[in-house]
Amino acid sequence: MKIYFYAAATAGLVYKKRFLNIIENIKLTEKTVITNLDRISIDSFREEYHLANLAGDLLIKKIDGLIIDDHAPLSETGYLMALALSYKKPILYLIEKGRVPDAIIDKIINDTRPEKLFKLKYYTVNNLEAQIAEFLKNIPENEAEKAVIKFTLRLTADLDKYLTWRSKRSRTTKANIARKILVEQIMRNDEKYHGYLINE
Amino acid sequence: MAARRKKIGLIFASASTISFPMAEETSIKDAADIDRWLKLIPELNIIADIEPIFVTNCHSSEINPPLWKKIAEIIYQKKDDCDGFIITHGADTVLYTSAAVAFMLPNFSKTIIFTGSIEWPLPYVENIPTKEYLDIGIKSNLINATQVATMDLAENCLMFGNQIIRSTRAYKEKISALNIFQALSNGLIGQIDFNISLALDFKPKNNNQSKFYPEINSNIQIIELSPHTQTNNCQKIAANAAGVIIKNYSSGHLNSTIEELVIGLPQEIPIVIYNQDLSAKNLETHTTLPPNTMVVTDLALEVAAIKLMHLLGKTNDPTEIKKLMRENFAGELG
Repeated sequence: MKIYFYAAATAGLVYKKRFLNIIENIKLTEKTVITNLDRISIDSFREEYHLANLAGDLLIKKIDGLIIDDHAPLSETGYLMALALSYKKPILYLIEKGRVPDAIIDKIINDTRPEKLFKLKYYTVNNLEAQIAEFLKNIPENEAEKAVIKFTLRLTADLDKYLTWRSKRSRTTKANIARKILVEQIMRNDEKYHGYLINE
Repeated sequence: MAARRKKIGLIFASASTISFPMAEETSIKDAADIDRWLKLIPELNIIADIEPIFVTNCHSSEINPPLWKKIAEIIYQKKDDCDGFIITHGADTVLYTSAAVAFMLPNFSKTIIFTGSIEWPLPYVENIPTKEYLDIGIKSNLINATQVATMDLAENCLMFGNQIIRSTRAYKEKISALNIFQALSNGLIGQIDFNISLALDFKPKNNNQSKFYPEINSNIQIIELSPHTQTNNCQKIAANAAGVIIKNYSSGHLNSTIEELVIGLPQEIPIVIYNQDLSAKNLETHTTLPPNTMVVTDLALEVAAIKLMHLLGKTNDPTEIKKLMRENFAGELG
C-alpha cells in the first residue's frame, strides 16, 4: 500500500520533527511512504512507475491514500486534493488543534461531497499516531496488489525469527512483510527484469 | 490575509467528451448546459473560480479560421477580468487553433492552455455508463489545466497527459495513449507528477500590454508530396492560393518533383518547402530554387501553416515573408 504524505517543506523545526514522526509511523505499518519532504522517495516512486509516467499517466493514480498537513500552502494542497478526489483516493486532512481550517475546506466538503473519501481530523501530539492508524486501517486494499496466488515457502529458524520480530513491530503479517521486501528491495531494483517487461 | 482566489476563463470550443451527442448528461449543446456540466467536476472550484464561456459545440474538425479569431478575441476582451484561460478542444485540430491564437496574441501576459480528452468513445460508449464517461480523460486534464492557469506563467500551451508543451513547439506523435503530443526543442514547459514542475525557461506573468493581431490570410494550399505526385495537378489546385506549403517527404534532398512543382507555381506568391526534420535546412542553399521559395523546418506542419497565414495577413511580398519566416513571433523558433 502506498501513501503520499504532503506537508509544508518550509515549516519550523518543531513541525519538521512532527512530520518525520508521521512518516516513521506510517513506515512502521509496512506501508510505502512517498512525500514531498523527501525527494528520493518521489524519485524512487517515479522510477518504479517509469513506463506509466512515460505513457502520460499521473503518479497520483498509483497511490492508495493521501495524508495532508494543514500547514502546507493551499495553492498546492487544493490542487492535490482536487486531483486525488477525482481519482477517488481517500484523504486524511490533519489540522493541529486550535487552528481554524481555511474556507476552501468547507468548499471541498460542500461542493465535492466526498463522503467517505475526505476525513478532516484535529490532532494533538498525543493522538496523532492514533488518527493516522485509524485512517490507514480503513483504506481499501488495492485490487491489483491483492495477493491471491498461493505459494508455500518453508523458512529457516533465523528467517522466521526475523519475520516474527518485524511483524510484531509493525502489527502486520509475516507474509505482508515478505511480499514488501520482495517488491521494494528486489523486484524494483532488478533492471534485467524491467528490460524483460519492456520487450515482452 | 488570505490570498485572492484566482479567476480562470474556461472557454468551451469542442472536445469529444463534451460535445458527443449520445452522452446526454455529459454533453454541452449550448451555453445553458454548462452549469449542469460543471457540477459534474466540482473539483475545479477547489482550485479557482471558473468563469465559463461557450463558443461552440461543433466537432473540433469543424473549427476554422473564424472560430480561431473568435477564441482569441474573447481572451483579449477578458484579459483584465481573468488570471488565466483554458480552452477545451478536440485533439485532432488543437495544434491549428492553439497556434492561431498564439500568433494572434503574441507575448500574451497570462496563461492560455488548451486541453481536452484524448479518449475516443466510439465504439465503446454504449457499454459505459454516461457518468463514468466524463471521467475518461478530460477530468484530470481539466484539473491540471486549471492549476497551470493559476500559476505564474505567461505561455500558450497544451496539456494532454502529464506534459505541458508550448503550443508552437508541439507536434503530434502518439507515443502513448495519453501523451499524444511531444515537444520539439525548448518546447517542454512542465511535467506533472505529484505537483507541477516547470522548466527553467518558462515565461512568467507580466504587465506587458497584450496586443491582438487577428488578420490572417487562410487562402493557402498544402501539397503533400509523394513519389507518384503529378505536378500539373498540384499546380492547378494551387493556382488561386495566396501561398503554398509543399510537404517534402525526403528531408535533405531536393528532388526533381519539387523543382518541377515550384517552377510551375506563380512566382509572386510565397512557397514554403516544409520538412519537420532539421536536416532539411540545407535545402535553402540550393541555387535552382526561385527567390520566392523558402525552407521551413523544426516546426509542426500545422504551426508552419498558421505562421504563413499570419504573415500573409501582414504582407503579400514573398521576399518580405521569407525574411519574416526567420523571426520569432510566438515562441515557434527553437
